[in-house]
Amino acid sequence: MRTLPPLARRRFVQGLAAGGALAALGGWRAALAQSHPAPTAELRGAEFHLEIGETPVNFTGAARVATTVNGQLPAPLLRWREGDTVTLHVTNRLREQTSIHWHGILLPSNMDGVPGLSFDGIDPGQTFTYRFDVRQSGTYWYHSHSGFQEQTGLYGAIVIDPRRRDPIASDRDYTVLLSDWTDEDPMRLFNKLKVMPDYYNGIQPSVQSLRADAASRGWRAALSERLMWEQMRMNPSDLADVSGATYTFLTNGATPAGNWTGLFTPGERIRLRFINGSAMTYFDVRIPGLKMTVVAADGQDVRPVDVEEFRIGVAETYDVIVEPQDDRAYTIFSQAMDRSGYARATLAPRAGMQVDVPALDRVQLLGMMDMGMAHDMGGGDHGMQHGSGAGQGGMVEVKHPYPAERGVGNSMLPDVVSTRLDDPGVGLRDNGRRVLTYADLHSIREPADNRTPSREIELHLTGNMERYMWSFNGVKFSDAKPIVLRYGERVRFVLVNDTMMTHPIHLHGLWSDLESPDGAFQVRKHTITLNPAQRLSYRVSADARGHWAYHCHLLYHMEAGMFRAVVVE
Amino acid sequence: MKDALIRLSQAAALALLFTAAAQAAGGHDGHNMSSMAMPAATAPIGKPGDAARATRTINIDMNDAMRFTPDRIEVKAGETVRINVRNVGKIRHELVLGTDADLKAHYDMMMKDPGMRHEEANAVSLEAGKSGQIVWRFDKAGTVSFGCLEPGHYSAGMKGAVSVL
Repeated sequence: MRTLPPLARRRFVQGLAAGGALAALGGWRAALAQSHPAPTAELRGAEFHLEIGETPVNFTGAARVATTVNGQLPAPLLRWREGDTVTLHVTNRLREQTSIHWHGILLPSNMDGVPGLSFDGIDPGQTFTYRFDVRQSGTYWYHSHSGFQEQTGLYGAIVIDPRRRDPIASDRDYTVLLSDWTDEDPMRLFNKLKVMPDYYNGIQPSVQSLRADAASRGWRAALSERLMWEQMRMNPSDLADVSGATYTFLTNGATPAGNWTGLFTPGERIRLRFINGSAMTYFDVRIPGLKMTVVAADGQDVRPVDVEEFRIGVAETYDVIVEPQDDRAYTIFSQAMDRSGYARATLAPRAGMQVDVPALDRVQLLGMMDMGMAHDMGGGDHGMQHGSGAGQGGMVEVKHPYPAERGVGNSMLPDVVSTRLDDPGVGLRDNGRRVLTYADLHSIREPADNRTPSREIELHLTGNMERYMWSFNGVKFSDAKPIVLRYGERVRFVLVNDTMMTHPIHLHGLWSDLESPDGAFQVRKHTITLNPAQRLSYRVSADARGHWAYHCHLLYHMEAGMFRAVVVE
Repeated sequence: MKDALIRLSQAAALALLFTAAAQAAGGHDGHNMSSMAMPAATAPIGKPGDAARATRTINIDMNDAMRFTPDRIEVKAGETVRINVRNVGKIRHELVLGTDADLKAHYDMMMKDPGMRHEEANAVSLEAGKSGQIVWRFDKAGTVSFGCLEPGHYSAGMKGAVSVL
């Protein structure tokens, strides 16, 4: 066993009640005095002025500097109208280059905001004007695509009102933007991960747990499984590589103690637009006492489905309807997938009301199924949410097209992968609650171009956790050629997750039309999560020319090389 | 809606539906329908009914599984019925009476221009949790179809039929 370095801060910090951006109060002295953050503004219309700068913040008791838009964290909510042409003047007041990417928005490639790929970036002191037609509606978001600015605060919500009457009528409409804040410098954090990837993992098996394990299962079984994990260069607690040991989780920029509160009158229909604007954190969201009806995913209307809990991947959005009938408060509880902490907010009839926050769920370690180990195939069914019958997928053997990379670029290769979409994922299986899975998501409208794909592109998500190397097909971005699509063609992307981590894969500029295990169109998304040892496929219409980014939306994985350019020519 | 009606009127295949809508506009309470010049052949699905003459009430629920319950009903030729429609889902649904061809053509138009509303007498459009009513006189024996023309709903199977005996 490796020994862990002492950490100054092993426990998740709930944060200050009044933390946040303090620009309005002016300077460090005010930041240390702690006050309520200015509420994030909503900007409406067709022309916007956004100024990217640095703002003192204090979420944990330590004064830090955040990257903000118009002095706000999260950045202002932008409210557009489908059919409008929007113009956004973005001015850089930082000492380094910056950019804004409009996540999930269809636009010309030179407006997409990825420095070095779709434009030159915005240099210090410069203003770049984005202008494009808004051709969709729903819930989206925007964030920096430069360095680690996304980690330090540069993210905000976009809500696009439909040109037609919205089929989802509601009495109240709130965006709920979840994010992860660290007091550490993200570059140092990244370097620590490269040197010691388990640095933030506080749930590794210990000698004590081995003893407990041995007591219940016998020494031989306990030791042999531990030995096997070591040989695989894997760790069953590798659920998230950056955890609550450094992160404070925010809801609309408020810490759990700060408790962002959305007001309602009992009997109202409330639309909550959840956005995961984190750098690295998957959240499992529930509102004890309320059923949630999921009505949209990634901005696209879906057939409404009632759930008690959903997992939201980094960069995904889900719109839900809740209808609280009672004159009481409800907690919006968003626990990190690795159970190292949570974001918390409240729905209440009156300001100041609150109820108990649930305890964090127990950590579920990865099973051999998540590792794609063939000998566990018989047990591969546990925790799946049945219901679809035929065509729900199963376990399939997998071939690896890049044996050369087996040594370093990828540390482990699953023998079998799951094609099922009804697995809620590790930590949510058999938890007694109705949990949303991709199998529940069905777009209400079919894509206008719903042709069967004419060819297939297979990509494996690969990594070596112990060396913090992340890539597609074992080749990191700096060594890889772009993926070339012909304008007008429809292709199938087949993704196989060879790693033991959950990855949100985002294709810019083009929709990802997720297929069911039997190959039928199911739901349109911009970001698609792959569980460990999962294989899934989606269709892409190459209907927008130019250079598009294609990457894992875990910020440090993208930085490490899990990124490709897609060129439509 | 006006634009939509004009376009409807331009589409020869949709002339029948337009007639039904025009009737509705002219005869909201159903009493002055007989005064409108209208060849009998233009109303194969029937016409708005006089609520006072309704012989019975039929309840139909619309839900988010994209279904009507029930989706098969029977009436007698010449019968006027009150159809109480309830949206038990979380998103908007509607019930539009028409021939299959009309509904299909109208649905295709909705996909292109989803801003259209249905407030004619042969249709009821309801937000989540709301209820509404259609009073309709079914004239001739045969089948009258109904469907929800919200984008995506009709093609997902949100349709049904009235057997006129």
